[in-house]
Amino acid sequence: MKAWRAIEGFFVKRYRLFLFDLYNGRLIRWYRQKKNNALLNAPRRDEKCDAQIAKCVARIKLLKQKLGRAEDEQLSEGAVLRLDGLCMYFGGVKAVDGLSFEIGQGEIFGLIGPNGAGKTTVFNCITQFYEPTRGSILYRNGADVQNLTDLKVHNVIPLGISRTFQNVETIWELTVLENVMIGAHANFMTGLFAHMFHLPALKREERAIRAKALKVLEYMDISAYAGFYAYGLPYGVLKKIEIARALMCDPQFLILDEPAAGMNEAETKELARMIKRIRDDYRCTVFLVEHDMGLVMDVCERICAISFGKMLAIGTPKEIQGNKAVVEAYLGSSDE
Amino acid sequence: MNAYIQMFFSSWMFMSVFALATMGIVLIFKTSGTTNFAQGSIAALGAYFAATFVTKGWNLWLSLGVSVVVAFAVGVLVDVGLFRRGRSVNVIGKQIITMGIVMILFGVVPMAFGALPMDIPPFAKGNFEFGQFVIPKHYAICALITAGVLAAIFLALRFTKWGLGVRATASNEKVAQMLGVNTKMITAVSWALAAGLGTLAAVMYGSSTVLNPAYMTGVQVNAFLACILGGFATFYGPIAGALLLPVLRNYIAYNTSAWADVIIYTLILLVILFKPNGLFGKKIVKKV
Amino acid sequence: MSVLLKKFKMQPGQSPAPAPKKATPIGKFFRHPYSHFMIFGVLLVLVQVLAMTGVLSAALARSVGVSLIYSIASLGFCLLLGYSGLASLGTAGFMGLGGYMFAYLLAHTPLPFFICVAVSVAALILIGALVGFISLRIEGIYLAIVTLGLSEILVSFFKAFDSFTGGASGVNLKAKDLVFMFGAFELSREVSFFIITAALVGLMIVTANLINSPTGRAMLAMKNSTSAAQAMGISKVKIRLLAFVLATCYAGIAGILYAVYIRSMNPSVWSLSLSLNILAAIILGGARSIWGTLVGAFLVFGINTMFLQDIAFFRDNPNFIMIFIGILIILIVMLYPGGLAQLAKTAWHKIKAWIRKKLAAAKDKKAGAGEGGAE
Repeated sequence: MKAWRAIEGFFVKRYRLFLFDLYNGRLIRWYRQKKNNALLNAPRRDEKCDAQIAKCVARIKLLKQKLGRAEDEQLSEGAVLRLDGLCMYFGGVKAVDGLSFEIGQGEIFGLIGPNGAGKTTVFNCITQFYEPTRGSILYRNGADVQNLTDLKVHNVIPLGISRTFQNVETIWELTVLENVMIGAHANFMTGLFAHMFHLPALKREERAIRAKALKVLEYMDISAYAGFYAYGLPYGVLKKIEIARALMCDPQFLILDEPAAGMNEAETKELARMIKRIRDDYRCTVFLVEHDMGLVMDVCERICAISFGKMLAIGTPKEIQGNKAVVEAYLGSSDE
Repeated sequence: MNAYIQMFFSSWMFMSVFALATMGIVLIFKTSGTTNFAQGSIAALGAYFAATFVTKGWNLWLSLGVSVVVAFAVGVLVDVGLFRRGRSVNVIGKQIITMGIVMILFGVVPMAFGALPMDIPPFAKGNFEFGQFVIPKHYAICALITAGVLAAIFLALRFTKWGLGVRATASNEKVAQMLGVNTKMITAVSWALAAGLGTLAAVMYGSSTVLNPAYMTGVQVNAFLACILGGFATFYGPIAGALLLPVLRNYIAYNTSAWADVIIYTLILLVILFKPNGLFGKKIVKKV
Repeated sequence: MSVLLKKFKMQPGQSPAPAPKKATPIGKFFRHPYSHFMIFGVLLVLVQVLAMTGVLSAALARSVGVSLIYSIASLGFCLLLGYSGLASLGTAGFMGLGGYMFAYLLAHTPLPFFICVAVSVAALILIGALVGFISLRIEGIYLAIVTLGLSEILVSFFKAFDSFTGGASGVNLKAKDLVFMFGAFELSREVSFFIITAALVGLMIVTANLINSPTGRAMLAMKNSTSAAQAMGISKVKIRLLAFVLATCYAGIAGILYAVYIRSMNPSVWSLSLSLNILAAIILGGARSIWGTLVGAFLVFGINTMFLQDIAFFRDNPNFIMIFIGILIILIVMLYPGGLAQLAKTAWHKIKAWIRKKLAAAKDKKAGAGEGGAE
């Protein structure tokens, strides 16, 4: 009888996990649909989306309770992202080791640390390029709280999380405009059939995306390059293309991986202004890694300093500047 | 049961052939970062040389030795002439270059050696018999040579400077170069060795078939499948796969004659599905 | 839409093109994205009509037809290699499988022509999806290995199963089976040629549409930067699998048309050499260009039977052309990855720049002369 219970429990758990994935997938689909509505300026259709999203969220909550996962309640009011005991080991190397912090809604949050401290690894864990060894990453999207570790890497962007890369990852064989249009890929609802025969639905979407891409390019002040191939453009422009691409999906949570790398002082100053402007205009949270201390101290409202995967300090720029542990991590211990 | 043991002995030739061919493919994969589709055709070229020498009346062992040396030269030529210049080409581009070599050899071999079929004699005729089991002498010699050659290569990989260089190049070519490893030399030697191993395999296999430019394609396919089975990550994994495949194939063919190839292929697909990095593979995390 | 596209596609360092002049109806037709394909189709029909009237030789029309069939397979491969950056060696195997399946269905079942085509293509899509899904879960380079294995196994399968494929001697389709539209047309060689033309033009349009759609962009993004594409919400397995299945589908259609046009198949046709030749056609023409692919296919498959057969040297050394193509594709991959299409494009830009310079110089001279006269 006991064995039977165990077998039954195994299958029930499997079934619930399956349902969990299913509803997660549907939730992502409806989020995409909602973005598509916004794109095509059809708010009328939003009601159905909202109803479906609410239904999915309720189902997921119920399933989570049954699966014994109540981590969602841990995300405090007003916070948008919470890392909870995040660990990422590569073999024996502990790139990130038990990192926990929260990022508030609408903040510009900086992550600093010496080389090899595991900053980019944190980003890769959030966007699911790496599967964290342990720990959870909670993210609030409206009424819904998701544990990002449940998602696949390409399903992260429909939640409004978009990122740029440390080494620019532009698509050389496309023009700047098309590069930026890639950013809206998660907004498309038309399928392969429409793409094969260029049905009116696709043309409508393409028109809307193109117009939006041109607007974003203008916003980033690089519309002059719209028709050029990305190959061979100056580094600063490529960095801006990346940010423009990330802005295409109207992010709620923007992740910038070393946006000022390779820029001179004037460009960095301009970038700082731009980051603040983006935060205000898009009403998003910005999470950035940067080596340029000037930029970090200038734009960030709160900073977390890490070293060898462990947190050293968290606080306002002033507090970080005065923190002994951080200074030691950067300059080495004074006892030596 | 006896039938199965006998089948194990009858797989010796293919085990040797596959193991040698696989070793060549892995060496090139490790140093040049591509899967060499020309392994089979370069080997066939070597075998044609051997067959020509044999028909001229040379001793088989002498012709084998000379053709292996010729294959060394061909391997070095391919590396120096093409791959050293094509370093910036991406992985798929390198694959296509090897496919181009296949096309060239498919054309060159019949023009150079005539369209008539050629054959190579076995190393020794006759069988060893003990008890109920029969091992053809040719198979036994093949197994011996293979064991010796592979042992030498593994020892060299473990203990010589060249072996250390190959392992360094495999893990990161640029860093190896900066640390003073002569990666050009390492790669060239690996290509030469791969071509030589291929020729050895082709000569072993040549005694039980008729030579044509594409006759090593089947061996090459099996060597690739062995690499997938064992995983490209290690040197011993693919060799283990290559030793396993012929035995497995014989056992399956014993029970279901015509479908053996299809079953083996399906098994390999299942391995890829459940253990994508092979039976002995390690997970590789890509850095973004 | 296409006008917009053209307007935005420029080489770096090039000044924007002048605004398009007022469109005449003819100009409008030529600017329509499908018009080139339509004109090409009409030209092909003309070739067959001329061959029927005896102006062109029937052998020439036949080599054109065969080249067109291989062009279809190449077109699918163009999506796979040029847009997704994946190489496959299974094209010939998939062509053979499509052809045999179609021939079997046509000869042994009462199903009409189109149902046979649909069933064979559907079965191929299924097999392609299965093989692609498994091999693409890991790395791109595995695809070539796994498809090479599949194609070898398919060939041995074709040889072994006589009831399905006629064994080593092959299968011959009988004229009574080759009827079209419930027996209204017999599929003579001429009618088949028109069907091939229609299929090719249709697939060219579909391919062009795909390339200029979000799917095409997503494929290119995945080829150029896997991580960026994934971060932008493109599923790696899905988009690569799509390209592979499309390539399989095109190859299957090509195999079916081969069965209809040539009417006899034996396993030696679907060897590794054919897959390599299709690969060569794409590399030669330029992996990212539809027209380049067609030119490449004609160079690899057409030239040999059309012209070179008449030259004694090539008749005596049938393998020489293979060596030549092999050398050519290695050179192109290493030195000029864009292929003939890129070459033509660069040449066209140079000629245009030269003409513009000459015109400007002439204008300057004129202006200078005018000023001189005024003084």
